[in-house]
Amino acid sequence: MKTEKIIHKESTRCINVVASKVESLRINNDLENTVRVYDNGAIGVDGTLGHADFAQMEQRAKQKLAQGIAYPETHDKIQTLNINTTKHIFGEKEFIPKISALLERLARENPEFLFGNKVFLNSMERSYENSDGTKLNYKGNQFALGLTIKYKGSANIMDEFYQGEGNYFDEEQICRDVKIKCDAFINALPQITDDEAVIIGDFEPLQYAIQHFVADMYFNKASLFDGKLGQKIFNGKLNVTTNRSPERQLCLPFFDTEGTVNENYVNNLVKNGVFDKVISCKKSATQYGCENLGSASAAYNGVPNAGMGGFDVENTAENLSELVKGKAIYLSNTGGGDMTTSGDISIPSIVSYLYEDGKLLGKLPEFTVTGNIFDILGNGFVGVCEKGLFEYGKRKYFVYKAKLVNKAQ
Amino acid sequence: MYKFKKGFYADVRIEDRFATNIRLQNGQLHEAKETVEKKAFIRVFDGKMWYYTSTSDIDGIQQSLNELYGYAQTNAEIDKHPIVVKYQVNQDKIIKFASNSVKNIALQQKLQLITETAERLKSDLCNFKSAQYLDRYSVYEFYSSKGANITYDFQTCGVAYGMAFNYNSENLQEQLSKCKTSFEMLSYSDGELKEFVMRCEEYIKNAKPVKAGSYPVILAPIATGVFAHESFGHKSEADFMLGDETMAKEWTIGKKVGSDILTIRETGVFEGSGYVPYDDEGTKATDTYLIKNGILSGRLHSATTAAALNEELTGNARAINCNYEPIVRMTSTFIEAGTSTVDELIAGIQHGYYVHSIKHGSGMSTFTIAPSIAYEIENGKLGKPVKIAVLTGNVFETLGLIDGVANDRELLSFVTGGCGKMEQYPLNVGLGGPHIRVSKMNIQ
Repeated sequence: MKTEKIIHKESTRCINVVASKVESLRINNDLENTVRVYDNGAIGVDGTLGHADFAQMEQRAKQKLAQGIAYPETHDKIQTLNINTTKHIFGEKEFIPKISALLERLARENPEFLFGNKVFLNSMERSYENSDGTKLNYKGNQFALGLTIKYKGSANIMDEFYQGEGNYFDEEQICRDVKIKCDAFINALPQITDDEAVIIGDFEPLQYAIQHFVADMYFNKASLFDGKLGQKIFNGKLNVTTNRSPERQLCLPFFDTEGTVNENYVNNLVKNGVFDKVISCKKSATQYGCENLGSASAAYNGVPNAGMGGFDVENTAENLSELVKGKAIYLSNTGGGDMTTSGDISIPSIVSYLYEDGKLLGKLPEFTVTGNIFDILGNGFVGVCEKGLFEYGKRKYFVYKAKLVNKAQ
Repeated sequence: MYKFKKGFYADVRIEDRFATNIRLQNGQLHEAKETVEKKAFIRVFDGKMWYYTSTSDIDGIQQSLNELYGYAQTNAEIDKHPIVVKYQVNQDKIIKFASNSVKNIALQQKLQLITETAERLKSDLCNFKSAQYLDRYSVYEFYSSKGANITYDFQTCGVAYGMAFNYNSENLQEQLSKCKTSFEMLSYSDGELKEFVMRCEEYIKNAKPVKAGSYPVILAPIATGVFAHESFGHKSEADFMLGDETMAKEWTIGKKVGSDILTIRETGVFEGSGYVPYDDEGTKATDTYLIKNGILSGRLHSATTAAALNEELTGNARAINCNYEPIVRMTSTFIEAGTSTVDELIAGIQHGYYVHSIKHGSGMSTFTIAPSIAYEIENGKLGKPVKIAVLTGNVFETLGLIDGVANDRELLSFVTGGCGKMEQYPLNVGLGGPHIRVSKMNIQ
């Protein structure tokens, strides 16, 4: 028999912003506790919120073994690791004054826009222990903001969005970033005439394909990549990973919910264009005889599943200017794209800008980006970098070539 | 019940939630859990700012409330504040589902239902099947410093069967699901299961690509509901109008915003996933026409937005759970039935498309619907299945392009997914409508 104990503490201070002003402060302090028991090829799980009596939880988890949920009992290398990435961002009492000042400045510097939505100050701590002796502990914190940006002359519910997460606060950087978007937004450009373009966006094309990497889908022949494990099916520069490195991630433990710690905290789904591994947890790895990717997730009272925490694509360049020579389109705001049964992707662009020489020149009319997943991630893949248009926080730019259809005039 | 301090507005919302989640994959049990969570959300308003906190320590609510008062400043005039004046003082108890609560049905019985149904779903083209049973029984309490004292219950239960089909390197994942308020209503007949499998098999074998462009489209009730929700429902949420005079002018009640045959209604009174007899500020559910015969007729409010726009409360302040504050959200949103038959709508199209089922939708100035199964329409008749990634349209234009509304309205509930708005996802909502015909939508 093996037991696991997980304690997850999370503290959130959240400011709601309405019409460029602080409207409210929300205080959440949450504590979740989990006990899992493995015995005779089955799992039993018990979870509680708030104060926990772990002896009672273990008893209840043992009783749930009788449900007969199959799960392998694994015994891995015993590890004791304690990583604390917490940085002093600012004192809790400074939260409202600092955000009020930030909003006042954003409104002053961008008088044609209204700002709304949320600003967060988060901290979290998660500990994992098992009866083999492994003890893992992670602490981290972050400042995060997701601001809706609404042009005062527009009848839309929102026009733009600015998102940033970091373990520091820098009013200058945030204000510079937001101004870049606002200035570009009000400079309306004519529709792009080319039917193909270099697109600067996020990992959206990969997100539509992600379920096809899941072990259950792949080994049951329900994946678009059926039979292609181990084959080079994408561009040789493409490396898709689960990356739980404390240096890369904010408020994400370096271990998954099953206590798996990957070498250097990274494991590859796609390595140099080769479909290298499937998305798995200990259960699916055992069931299908594949390697455990180490990205399992679970609700506090739930059975672990194959997840994709720490999803990342490795950089291929230092900055955008290395990747993009000439003009490109920066996809800033997209609306609910998807993929057909053959892997044809469509991403409707709601707000996009013409990009050249490190700058956003102006806003383009709406269109749809389209292409097959194997083309976009194959010959169409240009590269990935962290540095480019915006300064605040951790972000990545995913650059690829694709076709443009249904262009509005 | 609670000691509310003078000089502030405050309220306490408690949800006692029981939920079941059972999941099978290829007949093997992967999850079988019953969750019981009781949490409270506490709000204090001093006329300048709101302060919120949440707690799972129900015995400590008074202490949390007292701590929250410490952040706010006393306001002797708080009772005259326009937002506070708006709050209703309802005292009511509506317990509808306790006698047939899903709490009283054994986990084994729920497991048996999905196990047996999943076994009856068979296809040579399917190697991966999932089955899920989900239910929820909640008892809500709401108390305010103005004297509100409300208790009501909520219940949904449902099943979702997923099948992944594979044929000549094509992959289709489709779901058959049902959400009701009573466990006894969750079974499927053999005919329903066979029809689902045959439709999926025919689709994956025969679906052909489409050429991107603008075409007339007919939406089935599920797609109509998502269209109503995404295209206009979100635009009716009045919190987007706060502080924006342009918005208020653009969305003047009485303005023509759609075709004459379009009526969109929003209400929390119907049982199902959009049932909200009282919202999370204690406002009683209303029946709101967002668009009536093409004319903008109403919008959705919290007390804050109703006070700011000097309009009436609608009962639409909602939170996904007791971790979050209520914001303006939909309940059940649907397009009202028209007079045409579905055949008449199809007969009016020379070359276009029919959207049978969908994966998801979203909406801002442009709405997007991602169809799952769709068909071409040729010379007024339904034709072969087609592969459409997304269909899109400008909200303002498309509402005016609805040129046919059928007489077959359905109001649908859901146990999986839900509505997302900023950080709060998923919120249980209902949606629906009849088949509708739109003269032009972008297809990709």
